[in-house]
Amino acid sequence: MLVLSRRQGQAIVIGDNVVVRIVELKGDQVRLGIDAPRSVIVHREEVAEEIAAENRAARQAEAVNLADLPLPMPPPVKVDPQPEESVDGV
Amino acid sequence: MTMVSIDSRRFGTIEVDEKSLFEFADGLLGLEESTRSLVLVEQEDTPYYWLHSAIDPDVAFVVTDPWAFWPDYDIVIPDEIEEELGLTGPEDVGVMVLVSVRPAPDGGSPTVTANLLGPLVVSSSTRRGRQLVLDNARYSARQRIGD
Repeated sequence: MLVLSRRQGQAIVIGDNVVVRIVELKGDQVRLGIDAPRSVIVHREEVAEEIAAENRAARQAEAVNLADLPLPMPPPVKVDPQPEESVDGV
Repeated sequence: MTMVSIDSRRFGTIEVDEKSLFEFADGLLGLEESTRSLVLVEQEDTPYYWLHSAIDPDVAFVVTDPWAFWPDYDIVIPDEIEEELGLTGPEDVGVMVLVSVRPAPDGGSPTVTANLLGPLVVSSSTRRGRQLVLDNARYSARQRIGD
């Protein structure tokens, strides 16, 4: 792995058209600014890892019967209003 | 019409039209090799489908339409992915989410969750697909279904 030291405001260039700049340093956090063509997809590593882990968990669906899985909330049942009971003669 | 045979541990041998396969150039995250070619198997009377690997007989996923459960689910498909998949318009876009079923340790009802953070987007016409990585704190990779 290539490891470079940079100061706030400095940047590194990757290939012809990706620039990663150190925008701000605050405690143990670094804010990065990324300039890249739209065809380069950028996302946080842990989000991709979380999705990969969940993909692997979803694969083990061997003994699942789809008919046993929960259904979306069904439309509410319509109930005709009950005729009001007469209170006469009580 | 060219039919292809897919071996499935669950369904035996499935014969499908080659054109019905979904091609995911990059596969699904973490399972890239076995998920580049997938077929959607219909299941009557449930909102769920099987998405089966055309490569590995052991790889199949339960998927569902996210809007069947979460009507206000909201995703943005980046232009470059629209282009890559050859999406021609809203009616050409298919979106599904993977469902995980985790059995309860005591034999009770399983925990069923959907991955709303990594939806699968496909084109009905070009049959190309890709898993999106949403950067959206509103959505979970393990959103509970039911209860």
